[in-house]
Amino acid sequence: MILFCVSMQSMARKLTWQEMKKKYPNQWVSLINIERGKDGMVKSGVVMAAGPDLKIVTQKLKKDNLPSEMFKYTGHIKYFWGFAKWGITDVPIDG
Amino acid sequence: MFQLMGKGGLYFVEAILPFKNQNKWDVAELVLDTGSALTVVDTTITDFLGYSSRDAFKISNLDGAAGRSKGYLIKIPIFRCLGFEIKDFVIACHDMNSKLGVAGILGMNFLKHFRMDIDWATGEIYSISKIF
Repeated sequence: MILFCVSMQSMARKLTWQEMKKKYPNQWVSLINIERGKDGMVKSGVVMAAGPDLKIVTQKLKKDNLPSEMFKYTGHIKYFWGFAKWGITDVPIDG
Repeated sequence: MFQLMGKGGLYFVEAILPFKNQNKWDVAELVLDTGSALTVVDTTITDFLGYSSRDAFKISNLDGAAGRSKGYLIKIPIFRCLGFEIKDFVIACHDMNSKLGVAGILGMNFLKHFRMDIDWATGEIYSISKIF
């Protein structure tokens, strides 16, 4: 398994953020070897796993025992709502 | 100066989250949201980091436009964000629709510890200091 991971990493090419967005549109990517620009934003990295659903990405990482340093979404944020109300049930989960 | 990441009319920040009982970290981008009392992280990520409902100390409910989401609160040993760290930090673990592109929310339980000068038009933070 370790040999497999090493070969996966050595085979993987570093992509720029623009290349990642083009290659994996509207997907979650798991990155390693991240390089940042002067503004602190991710400039490039090696994609370890990618998929439209974050669950698919973490499953792939776990299954192949791959490292991950960051999760990032390549697409536009389609919709998001403000959370109107917070409630914390005042009961211990095991109680 | 610190630059927030603007996407879809929202500002995102990177949060560094520790794996459970390991000296390893992963980074997730969270939406900066002063309208959220707590910091929320998608259970897909907390599961990946090794946490589960067994680590929970309370059940939590999130009421949003899409209805109620049930989750749980856990305490992580260290939470790092915006160049600072808070020990024994509480996060709410909830299933989020990852197809929306959001992995979590940076809420007031983190933000209340800081004084910041933010230009909301550009997403630039000119100064940030911890309130002791």
